[in-house]
Amino acid sequence: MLYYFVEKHLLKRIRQSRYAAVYYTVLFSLFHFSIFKLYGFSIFPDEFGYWAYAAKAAGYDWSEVVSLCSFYSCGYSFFLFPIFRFCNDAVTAYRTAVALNFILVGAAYWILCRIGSLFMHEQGEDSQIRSAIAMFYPAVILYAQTTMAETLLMTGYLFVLMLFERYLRKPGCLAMILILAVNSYMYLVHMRTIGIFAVCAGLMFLAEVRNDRDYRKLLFMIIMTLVSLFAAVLFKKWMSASLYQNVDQELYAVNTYGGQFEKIRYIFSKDGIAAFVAGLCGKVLYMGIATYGTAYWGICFLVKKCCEGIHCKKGSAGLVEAFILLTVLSQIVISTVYNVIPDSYDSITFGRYHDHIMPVLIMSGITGITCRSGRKKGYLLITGLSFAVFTAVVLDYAGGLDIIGIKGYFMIGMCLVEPGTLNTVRFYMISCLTGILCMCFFSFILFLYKRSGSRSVLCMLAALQLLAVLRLGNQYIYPFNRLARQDIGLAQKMEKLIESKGPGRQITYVDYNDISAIGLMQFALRDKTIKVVSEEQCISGEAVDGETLVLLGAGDPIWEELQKKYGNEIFGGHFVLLYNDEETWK
Amino acid sequence: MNRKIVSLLALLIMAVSLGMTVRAGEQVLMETVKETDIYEKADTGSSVLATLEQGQPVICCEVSGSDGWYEITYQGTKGYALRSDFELYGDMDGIDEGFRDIQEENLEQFEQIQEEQLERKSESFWGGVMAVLIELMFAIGIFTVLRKMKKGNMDAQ
Repeated sequence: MLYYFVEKHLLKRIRQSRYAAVYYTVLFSLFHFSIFKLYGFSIFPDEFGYWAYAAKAAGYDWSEVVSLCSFYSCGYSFFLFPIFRFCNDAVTAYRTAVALNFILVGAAYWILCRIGSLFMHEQGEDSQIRSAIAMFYPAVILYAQTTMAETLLMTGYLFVLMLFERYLRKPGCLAMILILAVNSYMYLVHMRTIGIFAVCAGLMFLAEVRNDRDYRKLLFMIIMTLVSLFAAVLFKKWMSASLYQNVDQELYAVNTYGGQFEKIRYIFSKDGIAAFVAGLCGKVLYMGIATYGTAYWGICFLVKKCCEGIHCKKGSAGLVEAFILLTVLSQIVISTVYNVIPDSYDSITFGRYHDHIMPVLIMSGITGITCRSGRKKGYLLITGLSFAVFTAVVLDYAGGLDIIGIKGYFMIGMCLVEPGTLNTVRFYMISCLTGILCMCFFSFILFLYKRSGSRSVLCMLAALQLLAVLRLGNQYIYPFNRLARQDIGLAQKMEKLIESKGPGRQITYVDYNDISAIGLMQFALRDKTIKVVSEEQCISGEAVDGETLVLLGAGDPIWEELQKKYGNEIFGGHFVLLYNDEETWK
Repeated sequence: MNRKIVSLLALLIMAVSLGMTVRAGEQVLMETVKETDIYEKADTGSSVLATLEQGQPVICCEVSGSDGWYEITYQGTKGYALRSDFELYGDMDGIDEGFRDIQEENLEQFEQIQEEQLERKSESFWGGVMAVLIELMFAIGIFTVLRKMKKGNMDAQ
């Protein structure tokens, strides 16, 4: 009986889900591999911005450090708040949030498998292995190792896509309300998802019009859309008003709609048009390089399926494909507008704003390449031509810009080559060449898969993605965390100093050269209010006295001046701490 | 303050290692009770080599036959000073505190090293697991292709 149960149900199920089991094993190993290397923020103002809401809700006063930051949305902080509340130690809290991200990645994989089975009509195992390749997309795993909202956005996007597909099969008011609610929440997580909200609402409306034209239902839908949008906007305003009371309005506007109007005006100028077109090309080029060309194949495949659906002129055929295509378009346009005035070369090929859509495109691309229908030569031609044109435009535009430096972590998918040591044109050229090499490898494996018909061949693609994940982690995540570890160590020393030398001592940070790592110090010293002062206030003695613990950014020119007043100094990470043993000047 | 404690500790350790007892010819850690002159000989009429500030800790040596004098060495200068100008160094609390601080610091460093070792172990273990998994993935792929080629059914689709 037991043997029968094990053989019939358990072993059969395990055999059917073997690729999913391998995926979860690798994800589990990746989590353990990275978690002990993580100590704090890798991408500073953003991560701090999300934790600041959680701190505010927990009753801590971080207002002074928050005043150095631009606006960040509050949606992700709903997840961070309970972690912040129950983990008193900064490193533990951070690692718990990363663990939550990995759980979200696991959930996103399951959703992507469902999407593959439902709408691409893939068999269970096909869907499992293709989803695994897609979910090992480097940016997905790397953002999961930070407390950026990207992992939540990706899971949310896939969830909306699954709900939307279900809604088209089984339309109903409850399903519609659920979709709008998830979209509203996504809007609270990051404002760029307004594009996804608009596309989703528009296509649901279109599906209703194409199906039964029930005007009462259409009216209800419009009302519900407006209500959920306004509710999200009002809630966001209320939350941000409570946190960003003392922030400089110009700085605050950098990440809000208000700050984008000037950019939109710029787009309608002669230079602006050129910047906008080059930006669009840069974002599409990024998609190609980061996904080894599969995103282009995915788009071709989706356009074809969408056109077939539209020609049917009935039901909801082609709307899921249209949803993916329009959301990709919306995210690219929003990203281009946001970065139209470049402050670094990253702005041209900024990929962060559409990285959360890439897994779907990769999976569609693999399906497109390996499906039986023809037109492969056409796809190949389109891919090759797009790649060549976009590369030429980006190189030409980047060559004419008078800015320096590539940071790389916001276009992580195309930074297999470290940009720091290269000039811009050379970096882009080497990135494109690396991309072409990876594309050739991907295509070769997919060709072998088509010829052999064995899914196990695709394991090599997942392995390639994992190699990229490890390479990029060593380049962008772990070095920042080594510094973060020193910062956290300094914060611990400061806590002990305050305990032994007098609990009333004020920590004061001298704001210099926008060192946003101060956010991490505030995160580590959660119950202390770090006062932020200018260099002038510090030198004149107006804002500091003998008992103040003064935090300076490493390299701050007023360090020598302050050394005369303070007897002790401790170096750690991004900072130097100056203090006196006695509560008087040296 | 810390530097002072550390120098005192060094002096103390030196004194202990030299065998600190209050017997003639042996050494003891004292401090000056007032500004004190160091004389060339055990005689106030001899020339003054240096002057010590009040509260200065010094290692003093009993001089046999000169009860009122200590032989001292200060910054490389050997000389004599009046016994009445000295008292036993009394800031034992400071020394204890210094010891405690050093002990705590050592403990912290030890814990930190232990933590780092644990992390390194975990990192190398999971790094190994990752490497094996990646290699296995490649191996499975290559093995599958080779098997299919051997069987001659590479045109399955």
